[in-house]
Amino acid sequence: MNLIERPTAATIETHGLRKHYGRTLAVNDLTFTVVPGRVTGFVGPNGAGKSTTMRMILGLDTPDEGRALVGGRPYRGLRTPLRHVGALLDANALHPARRACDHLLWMAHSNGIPARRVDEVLDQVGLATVARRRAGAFSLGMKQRLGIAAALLGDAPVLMFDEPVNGLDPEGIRWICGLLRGLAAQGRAVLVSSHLMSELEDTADHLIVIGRGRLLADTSVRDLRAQASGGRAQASGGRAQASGERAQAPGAQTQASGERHGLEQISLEEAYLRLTRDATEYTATEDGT
Amino acid sequence: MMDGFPDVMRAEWTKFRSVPVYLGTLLGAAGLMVLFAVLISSGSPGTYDQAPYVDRFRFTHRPLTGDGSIVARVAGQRADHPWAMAGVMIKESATAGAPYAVLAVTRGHGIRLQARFTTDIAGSDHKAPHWLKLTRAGTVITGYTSTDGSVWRPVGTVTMTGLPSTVEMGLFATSPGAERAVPMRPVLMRTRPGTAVFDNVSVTAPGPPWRTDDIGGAGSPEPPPPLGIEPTAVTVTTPAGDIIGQADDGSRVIAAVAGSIAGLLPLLALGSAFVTAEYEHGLIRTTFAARPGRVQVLAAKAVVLAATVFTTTLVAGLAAFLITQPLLRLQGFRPPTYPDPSLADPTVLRVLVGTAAFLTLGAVLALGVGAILRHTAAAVTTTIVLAMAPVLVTPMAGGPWPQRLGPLAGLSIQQIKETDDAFLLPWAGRTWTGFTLLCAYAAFAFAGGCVLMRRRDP
Repeated sequence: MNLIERPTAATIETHGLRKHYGRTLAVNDLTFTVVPGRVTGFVGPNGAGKSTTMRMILGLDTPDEGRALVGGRPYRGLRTPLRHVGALLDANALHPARRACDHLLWMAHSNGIPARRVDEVLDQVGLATVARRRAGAFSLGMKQRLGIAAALLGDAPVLMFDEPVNGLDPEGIRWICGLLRGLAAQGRAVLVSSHLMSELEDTADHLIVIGRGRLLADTSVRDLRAQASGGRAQASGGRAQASGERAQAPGAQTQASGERHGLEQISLEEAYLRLTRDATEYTATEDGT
Repeated sequence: MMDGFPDVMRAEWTKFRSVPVYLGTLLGAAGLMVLFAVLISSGSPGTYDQAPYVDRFRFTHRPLTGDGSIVARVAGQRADHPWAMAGVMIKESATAGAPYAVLAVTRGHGIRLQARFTTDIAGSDHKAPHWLKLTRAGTVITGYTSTDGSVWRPVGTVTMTGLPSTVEMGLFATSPGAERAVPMRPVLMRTRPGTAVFDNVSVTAPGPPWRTDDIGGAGSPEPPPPLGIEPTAVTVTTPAGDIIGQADDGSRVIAAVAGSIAGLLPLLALGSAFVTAEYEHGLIRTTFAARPGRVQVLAAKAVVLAATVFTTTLVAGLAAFLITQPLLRLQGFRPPTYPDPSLADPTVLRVLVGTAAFLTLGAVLALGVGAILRHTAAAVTTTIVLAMAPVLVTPMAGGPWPQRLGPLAGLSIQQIKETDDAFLLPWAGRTWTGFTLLCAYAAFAFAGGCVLMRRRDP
């Protein structure tokens, strides 16, 4: 489609990002690349630094060290950023008295996006009938859809969604999974965060796992599965190593056997839990699965 | 910075018009302006509802029969108002409203020879200490001034037909305050008592003893100091009083902007909320993700806010002006004393446009404070306190400086006659000084907001 005239390459890169708030080190030496054409899951326990990283990518929070680039350029240097990156950070970030369509309209105006895009994206997320309702009256699920509409507004080659599944019903979750895969299939780079591996395992092709602000794994879902299965076979191997490269080698063969044994779902979740166990900020309660 | 600025302004305008409470606040401010104008124009003419003059002061005097003169050196004058007088007087009798002629130094208008509430002759620019002499020859009164008491320069003469052979002659001081306030405006400025210290007092012929009277009920808490038989040094203190005839004080125009302060308060809240609401709802991140230029965003907000507030308040001011004219005529504010004001008059335009600009600057100031504090309640409280605190502390402060230095000094742009009122008093005669100060406040708050927005993570 209009991929050709897209001005930036559909990538997100971070190089040695570091950010602290007071004494808390939120993100520590984080380096990864999000490439186009696939859904990249950004997973880690609550407080792992996912949202902070996304804010730094969007030029909202200034990193103490390192830098984040979108299509090879710093976000703050983009003239019409919504045409380069569509992002959903916080579905509640709305003025409650403003109508849904006006919320999208001011965003469109700010980047010279034609007003008809507002109706298009509202239609796309299924909010066309409530477009003229005040956003404050929306349920969390509707706010998520509005936030996704805002991310889609600029038809951007790079998309970021911070916990987009929150507040959605099962039908909504299925819808968003299909949407994310569809966006990736169009050649866009899609970064989706979640603190639950289960939300992403059917959607993501690739995973970036962080804990306590550090990169724990940068691996394809298939490799993590394979690694998890392998780890399970070795049983006493302790926690999995935070290294995509190591997991890559035995990948292909073990994945098939894992599926055959019907273990893959447990394994992936378990692999994630092992990866993040030491890095979990709040250990009082385990993630229920 | 200017790259894509129209887009940002369009976005901010969309934000502004799509929140009903913003529009409601704006229209509410406009409504208050008109409401106050109408209410005030329906009231009594205030100061001049009893008599067409104010004649209230402390008078230390003795009779003079036939021709003669009084000489005194005003050694010192303490008063706030530029029109506060200290000098010598010949008055038909020691009652309010009786014909008079005075020669006085003022705080800000040099030497004046005045008579019968209508005549005002300007002398030299001297202030106290200065020598004054007033002579009577038949019905002709002549004033002289001198720097040394030996070389006298005439200031002018006034003729007072029908002056009886025995008149009262003496020393006086005034301290204009509420009397010079236009009835349309609240009197929030306190003026200190006017005190005049005289020495080298002499009159031509010795006669009956001196006495002190409070003309027009200018009662002083302190009794007059005892006077000798032929005193040469006299101190006269008038707590609050003035000698002035009813004249066009600008009421016909000022009534239209009587709601300036009432209109300002909601606009301060509006200006702050226009930016703080984004912080409170987390929307500021969406804003900066859409336009990373922090200064550009705040500038666009300021332009949109300024344009809407200015337009709305200018229309409200014009409406108030037109609505109040017939009401004011009904209340006695009509020619010849109060000529019909015209919109073509530059002064009228300055007051109406200047008031809209004053309110606009207030809103921009509040926007800047909002950007600095990022919290609606804190920002609204801060701006309202910043604006109104000088009004509250002025009666205690005993001087004009809180008024002069507060943002409300911007109301100086509404000054019509130099003689007027409370708020204008601090910068009497300097129309643009207070306004410039308010501009500085707004610019400072805006710049502070820009700096902090750039430096901080939202």
